[in-house]
Amino acid sequence: MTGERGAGWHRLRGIDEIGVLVALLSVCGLLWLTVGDQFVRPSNLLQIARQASSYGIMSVGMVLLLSMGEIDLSIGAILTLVNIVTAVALREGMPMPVAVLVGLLTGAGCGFVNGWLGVLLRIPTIIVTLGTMSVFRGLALVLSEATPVSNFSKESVLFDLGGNTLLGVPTSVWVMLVVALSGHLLLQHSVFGWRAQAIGSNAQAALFSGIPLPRYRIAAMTIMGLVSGIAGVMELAFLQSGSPTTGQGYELFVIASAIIGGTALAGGRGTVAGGILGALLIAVIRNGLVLLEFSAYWGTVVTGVVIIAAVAIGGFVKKQ
Amino acid sequence: MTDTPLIQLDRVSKRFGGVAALDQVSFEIRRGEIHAVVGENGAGKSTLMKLLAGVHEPDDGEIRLAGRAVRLRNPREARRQGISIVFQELNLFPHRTVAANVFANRERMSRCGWVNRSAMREATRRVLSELDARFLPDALVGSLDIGEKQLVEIARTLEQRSQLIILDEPNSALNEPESQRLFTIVRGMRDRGITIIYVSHRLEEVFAIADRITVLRDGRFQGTYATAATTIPQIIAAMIGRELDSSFPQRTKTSSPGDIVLQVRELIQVPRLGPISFSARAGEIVGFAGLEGSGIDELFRVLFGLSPMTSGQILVRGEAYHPNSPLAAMRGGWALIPESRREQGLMMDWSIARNATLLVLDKLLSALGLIDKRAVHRTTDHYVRRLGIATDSQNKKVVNLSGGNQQKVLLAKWLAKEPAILILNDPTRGVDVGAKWEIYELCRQLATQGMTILMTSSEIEEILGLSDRVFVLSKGKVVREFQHGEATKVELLHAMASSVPLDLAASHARA
Repeated sequence: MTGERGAGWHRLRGIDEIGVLVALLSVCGLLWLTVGDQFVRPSNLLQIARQASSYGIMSVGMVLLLSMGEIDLSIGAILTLVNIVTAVALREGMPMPVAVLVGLLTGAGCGFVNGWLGVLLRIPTIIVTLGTMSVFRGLALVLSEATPVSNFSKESVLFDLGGNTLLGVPTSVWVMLVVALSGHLLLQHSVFGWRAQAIGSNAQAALFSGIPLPRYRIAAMTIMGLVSGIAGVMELAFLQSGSPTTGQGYELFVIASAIIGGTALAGGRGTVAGGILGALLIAVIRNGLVLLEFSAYWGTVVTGVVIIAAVAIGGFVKKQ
Repeated sequence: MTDTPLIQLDRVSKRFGGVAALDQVSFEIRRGEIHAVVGENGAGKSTLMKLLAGVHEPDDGEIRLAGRAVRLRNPREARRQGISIVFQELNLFPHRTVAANVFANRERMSRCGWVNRSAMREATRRVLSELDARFLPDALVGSLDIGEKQLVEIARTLEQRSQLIILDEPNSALNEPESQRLFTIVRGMRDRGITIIYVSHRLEEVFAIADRITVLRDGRFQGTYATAATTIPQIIAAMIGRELDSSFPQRTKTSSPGDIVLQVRELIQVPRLGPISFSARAGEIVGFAGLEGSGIDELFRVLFGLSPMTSGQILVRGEAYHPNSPLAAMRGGWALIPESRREQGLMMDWSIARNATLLVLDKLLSALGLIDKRAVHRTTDHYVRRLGIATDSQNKKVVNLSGGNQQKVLLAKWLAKEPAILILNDPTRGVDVGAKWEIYELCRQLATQGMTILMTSSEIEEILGLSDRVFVLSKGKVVREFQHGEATKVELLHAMASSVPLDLAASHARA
C-alpha cells in the first residue's frame, strides 16, 4: 500500500509543475476557507480567469525567453502600446481586422527591435528592454495624449465576442489556451524550441553546435512581442477602450508567473503549463487580496511577499 | 614519532543512494611523499578526495591525521587541519587580482578594519616567487593562461601553510612544458616537507612524479605500489582488472590511399596562424602537434567557422569552402569535437538522447513537422549501442555520466551528422583508460570507412599512436611533417619546441 503511494508521489514529484500546482491549490483552499462563497461564486472565478489570461498569454513568451537565457522587461509597455495603437487605428476608421493586424504587427515589431538591438549593439536583452520599456510606454502616451481612446465603433466581433464569453468562459481564456498550446508545441516538440533551450542550457556549446544564436534571439524576442500584442488586443476587447495605463507592472507578474511555474531564471528549463499555472496563482492572489479587503496599497506589498513565498514553497515541494 | 603516516584511512566507506562510492578503503599516506591516486572514472578517487577535503563525511570507517582520528565536517575544518585541495575545475574569480584570489575569504585586515591590500600583495609576491611564477600579484586572474591560473590555486594553498595538498587532475588542461613546470613545483613543495596527493588519469605523468601509487577500482582499494618497483602495464591491469594488450589499435594497411578531400593553401589568420598549407585524404588521420600558442586551436577554429580567416584558400573535394560560421561548416560536412566538453560540447543538464540528437532533429520529424520522440530514441539507441555508452537509460542527464561516457555522447552527437571531415581537439581529455581505447578504435574505424580526421591531443603519445601523418606547428606555421612511425616522442617534442618553419629549414639545409 505505502509502496504504491510512494511510487505515485514519486511520479508526481517528477512533474515540473508540481510545485506551483501545490501552491495554487493551497492558496485556493485558504481563500475558500476564509472568504467562502464570495471566492468560489462563478462571476468571481470568471473574473480571475480573465485576469489570469493576460498574464498567461504573455507568460508563454516569457517561458520561451527565460529558457533561452533571455528576458524582456518591456512587455507591459508593449501591451499598452498595442492596446493604444489598435484603438487609435479603429478611431481613425480602419476596419477591425486591419486594426487588429496593425496592433499585432506593432507588438511583433517592438519585439523584433528589442532582439535586433541586443544583437547589433551586443547588449544583454535585460538592458535593451529596460530602455525600450520606457520608449514604448512613452510612445503609447504620445499617441493617446495620455487619455483613454474610446471614440470608435464597438460593433464588431472583436468586442461582441472577444470581450465577452464563449461557452461560458471568457474568450480571452480560450485565446490563452490556444497560445499556450502553440507555445507548448513550439517549445517541447519543435526543432526551434529544442535548439532555443540548448542555447539557454549552454550558449557556448550551442554556438559550437552551429546554432545561429543571433537569429534565435531575435526570433524569440519577436514572439514575445507578438504574444504581448495579443494580450494588448484582448485587453482592448474587454475594456472597450484603449487605456494608456493598462499593462503597468505586468512584466513583473509575467516573469513571476514563469518562475513560479518552474522555469529556471538561468535558462535551459521551463514549461508552458507551469507558466500558465503561475499566472493563475498570481491572479488568484490578487483577487483574494481584494476579497479580503486589503487596501490597494497593502495589497501590493502582500502580492510581492506571496510571490516569494510561492516560489520558495514550490522549490521546497520539489525537493522533498 | 616521525614514522606515523600523515594520513591513515581505516576501512572508509561512503555510499550515495544505493551506490557504494567507496567500500572499506584502507591505506596510508606518508609524510612528505608525492602519493598518486589512480583509477578509472567512477573508481572513487574524487569521492575519496572530497572526504579528505571535508566536502563529504564518511559513512563508516576512520580518517586519522598524524595518528589522531579526525572528523572533517566541512572544508573549513579540513583547511584548519592543514589539508587543501586544488580541484580540476579551478575555483577562481577571474575579475579579481591574483592577490585577491589568494586571500579570498581570508582577507587580511589593517588595524582599522579595512582590507590590508599591501600586506596581501606582499605575501602573494613571496609565494609567487617561491613558485617561480612570472606574473604579478596585481594581475587579473582572467588574463592568465590556464597553467598560471593553476599556480594561483597552488599559491593559495601554500599561503595557507597546508601540510597536505591534494591536486585533482592538475594536468588535464596543461600542455607538456606547463606540466613539466608543475612537476618542478610539486617536487619543490615535497622537498620542503609538504605532502602531496596527486590524482590523475595520465599514467606517464604519474610515473614521472609520484613516489607511490594507490590504485582504486569500483570504490575498492587495489593496492599501493612504490613507483620504482612497478610498471605502467601493471598499474593499468590493477585499474581495469585485466591486461590491455596494446595502447593503440592496429592500423589496417589500406591498399590505395583515398582521394584528396581537403586542401588548405596559404591559410592566414592574423596574428596567430599561417601561412599554412596542407592536404588530407579520405580515410586519413592527420595529427597536429604543437605547444600552447602554436596555432592549432586557431587552425581548427578557422576551419570550423568559429574565427574568420584573413586570407588563403580552402578546398573540400576540389570545391572552394568558405567557413563563415559553424553552421556553414556543418553544411559543408565538417564536425568539431571541442576540447572542453563541459563548456563547448554538451548541454550538461540535458539527457543523453537530447544531446545526441540536437544536430539532426530536422531529420527526426513526424508528418506534422513536430519532433518524433520515438525517432529521437531510435537514433539515440543506435549510437548508445554503437559507441558502447554505459547507461541504464538514455534519459539520464549527461552530467551524471563518467567523463568517458560524456565524451562518447559528444561523439555520438557529431557522428549522427555523418560528417566527411572530423576535427578532434583533445578527444580523450579526462577520459579513463578503457574508454580511451574505445575512442581510439572508433577513430580507426571511422577512418577506415573513409572519414578524414584532423586531431590534436594534450598527450603526445596519442598524436603519435593515432595519426597517419603528424604536422608539427610552431608560431602558426608547419615546422615539420612526420609519417606514422617516423618520429619518437623525443623527436616530436624537440620539433614542437623549435620555431623554424619547414620551408625555411629546408632552404637552410640546401644552402
